Amino acid sequence: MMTTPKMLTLNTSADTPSQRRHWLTRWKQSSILIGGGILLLLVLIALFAPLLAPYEPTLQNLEHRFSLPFWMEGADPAHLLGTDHLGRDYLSRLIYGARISLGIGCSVVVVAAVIGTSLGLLAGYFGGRVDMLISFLITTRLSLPIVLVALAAVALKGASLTTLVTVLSLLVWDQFAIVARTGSQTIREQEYIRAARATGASHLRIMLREILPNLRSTLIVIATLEMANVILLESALSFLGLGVRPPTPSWGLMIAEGRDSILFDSWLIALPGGALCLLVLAVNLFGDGLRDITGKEAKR
Amino acid sequence: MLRFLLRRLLVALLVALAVSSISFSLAYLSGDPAIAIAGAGGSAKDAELIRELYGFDRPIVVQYADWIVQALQGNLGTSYYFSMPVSQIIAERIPVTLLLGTASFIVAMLLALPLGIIAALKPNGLLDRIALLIAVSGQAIPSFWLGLILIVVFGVWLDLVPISGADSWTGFILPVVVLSYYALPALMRLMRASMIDVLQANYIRTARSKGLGTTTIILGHALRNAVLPLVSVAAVQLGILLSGSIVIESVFALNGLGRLAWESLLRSDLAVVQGIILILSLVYVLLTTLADLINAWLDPRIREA
Amino acid sequence: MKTVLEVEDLTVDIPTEQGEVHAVKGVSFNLNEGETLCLVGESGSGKSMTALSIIGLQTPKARIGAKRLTLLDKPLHTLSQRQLDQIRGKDIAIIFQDPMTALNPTLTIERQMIEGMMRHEGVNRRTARERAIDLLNKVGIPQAAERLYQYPHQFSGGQRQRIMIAMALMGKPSLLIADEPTTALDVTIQAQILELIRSLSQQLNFSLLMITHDFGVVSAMADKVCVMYQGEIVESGTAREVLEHPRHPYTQGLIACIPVPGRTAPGSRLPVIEHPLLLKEQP
Repeated sequence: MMTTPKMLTLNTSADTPSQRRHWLTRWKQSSILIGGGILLLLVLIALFAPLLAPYEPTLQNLEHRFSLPFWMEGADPAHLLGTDHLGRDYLSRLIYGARISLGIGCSVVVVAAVIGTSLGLLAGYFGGRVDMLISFLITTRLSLPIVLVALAAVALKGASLTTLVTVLSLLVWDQFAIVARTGSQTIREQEYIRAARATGASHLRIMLREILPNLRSTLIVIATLEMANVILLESALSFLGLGVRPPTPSWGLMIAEGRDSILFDSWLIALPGGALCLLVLAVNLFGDGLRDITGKEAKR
Repeated sequence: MLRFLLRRLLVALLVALAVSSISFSLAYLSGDPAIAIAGAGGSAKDAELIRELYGFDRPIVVQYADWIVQALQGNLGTSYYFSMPVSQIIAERIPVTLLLGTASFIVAMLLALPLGIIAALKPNGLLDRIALLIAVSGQAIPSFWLGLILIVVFGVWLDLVPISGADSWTGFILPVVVLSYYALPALMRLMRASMIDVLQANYIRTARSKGLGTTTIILGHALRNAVLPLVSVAAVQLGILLSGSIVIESVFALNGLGRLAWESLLRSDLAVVQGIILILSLVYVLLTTLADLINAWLDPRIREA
Repeated sequence: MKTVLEVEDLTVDIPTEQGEVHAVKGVSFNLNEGETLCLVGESGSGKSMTALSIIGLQTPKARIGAKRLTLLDKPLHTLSQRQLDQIRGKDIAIIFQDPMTALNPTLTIERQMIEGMMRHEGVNRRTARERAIDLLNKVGIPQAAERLYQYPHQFSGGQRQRIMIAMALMGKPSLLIADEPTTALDVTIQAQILELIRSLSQQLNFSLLMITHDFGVVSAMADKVCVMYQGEIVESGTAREVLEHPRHPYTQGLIACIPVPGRTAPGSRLPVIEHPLLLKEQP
């Protein structure tokens, strides 16, 4: 005759759990909708950039340098958002910039997810020495200053998109590894994993078919949040001149180029910066909403 | 406790070794470090000279061993640009970075703790939503861009602060604002989540049953427990602030380690870059170890183990 | 005999999304000085809610109503939070079900024991500490003077419940509420803790409101019994009356659950394990 746990939990907050759930549900839904909506829009813009952009993003027109955007006095109707210091159409560059941010963000996250998840699965599943080694790798990675190492690697290897993606992927796998490691440690102890072992399933099969699917939702959330992180990193590297090479239109690079005219034409940095904020905000909102819905971490 | 310390020290040592080899091997990313240092304009003869001067003609293992042995003695090599010991250059530049990083960290903590606590007291209340807004926007705004915007607004339009350099303390205001805003969201969100958890704990109900007031309960009973998960994250954030200030230092033209690293990269002064990476990694390891010690001090259960 | 606690027509309503839940529907009972009353019922019967609302620890959203809810003739349910704080830990104290989580893991026993008394009585640390040591001795914690400076994790579950009891008695309460104080403990320790509470209540002459689901505890402790079912008291009386002549079928069912030596529970074919409490308390 055991007692069941207390029927009522006590808390000092003003809300009952049910009401909080109600409000949270709305927040989750709206953040996923808003975040997802903006994200979708930006993805479409990136995909259809050649159709949407009025000019080639790298087309210079030195006679029309620093045309003003439409909301300012004396704007050039031919260039809706004006032109930069080389007379390139700013709208077209912004549109193509979305490709760079999203492209690098996605590819880095995919590669990093593969690296991190594999390491994490191995560490969590096998434990012991394998775990010690991989945990040490994670610690080492965490202690490396990301921006500096990325800068150094890009500077020494020569800036190219491939280098950028490789270097960033090798630097941001840690969260995937940590989550996969803890997750598989827990799942490893479950009955059905032992049952699978007993029926003679191989380690690889268990890791891929039994454990990985259980971690899927958490890993997707991590991927989203890491993508926001990577987009910011790329923009910072490009801003410092050691990321995407000119004349490729990257928002970070555009901010760097606009920096010289910051005193007179501050819209040159305001526009690409605003675009970056919008994208990162959308990705973060989407990720936060996803995290709450998958319920892995009920608190925001 | 002693064993715990020794184990931490061993890990720190190993990490330092691993980091040093990574930072050493960075020089070989380009293939030939001599050519990298000689730069695009350098002739084959320059490269040959540099190779001999820096000992790049020796086997890699020998070079690495030599580098490690030297680093252990505090000798991080010589900067070819300054023709000075790297350790000396770093020592000259590190105060700015330390000042910037710790000031931003302190500001971020001073805001994050109360905001997180207030948000946790009334989840979904008005203050909580404002805090959420601050967090969400803080995570989305690129810090270098925010820095530029603040320079335009406060430095140019309003002419309140100097737009670059750190000749007086006012030059630090904007960079500290930007960096602390960058660190704030993670700290605040964690404080809030942790405080919400703790406030539902049974021992808080016990404290209430003793007739203690709300303030006593929050500050005397809940905070100490709620802050436990925050300590290690705070250490990581401080590490990021110290190493990540590279972008901010270049935006505000502050002569710290970050700017030094960036400039050294642009002029292929590898020894300096390697030295800075090593120092920053060690600082990180030091900080996380410190966080573990603070946690042990706060939580008697860890102290025992 | 002086009446310590009077409860008349106590209701607790909790608003939820699905409408109002009436957790307690008009409960009335009295508790005299030095007396022990057991509120018995299964989980969800409203017994814990009743007890918690007396000391003002119900969930914040819950609404409490009562014709009369008084401690020593002072009304409780109309008090502000601040006024309530002056009574809690002084005139009323409570011990909870799970001693493993009821103590703050990061504070010393000393701090947790003396803070209430220092606040309520304005005494200095040394006076409060002396009382704490005295009470720890009373509840059977050896070397109290040294162990006072230890942390909760350095004590066993049974010891922690003893500390909780000592802590509750720091303010010399007239009423002690014990919310299933032995449920989370080992069976052997349960009996010791019950015996401790009983002897302390006689020694220090406080009234005891005991919440339990276990008629074994009732027979060991109670002077009076109220049986709760779905938020209402379905049967009440002296412990002897209710135990020997339960009138309500629900009470009969609950009592039938207790394994008694020589009597097999209805419908059960299993051999019955002897209940240590009942064995001890058999006249």
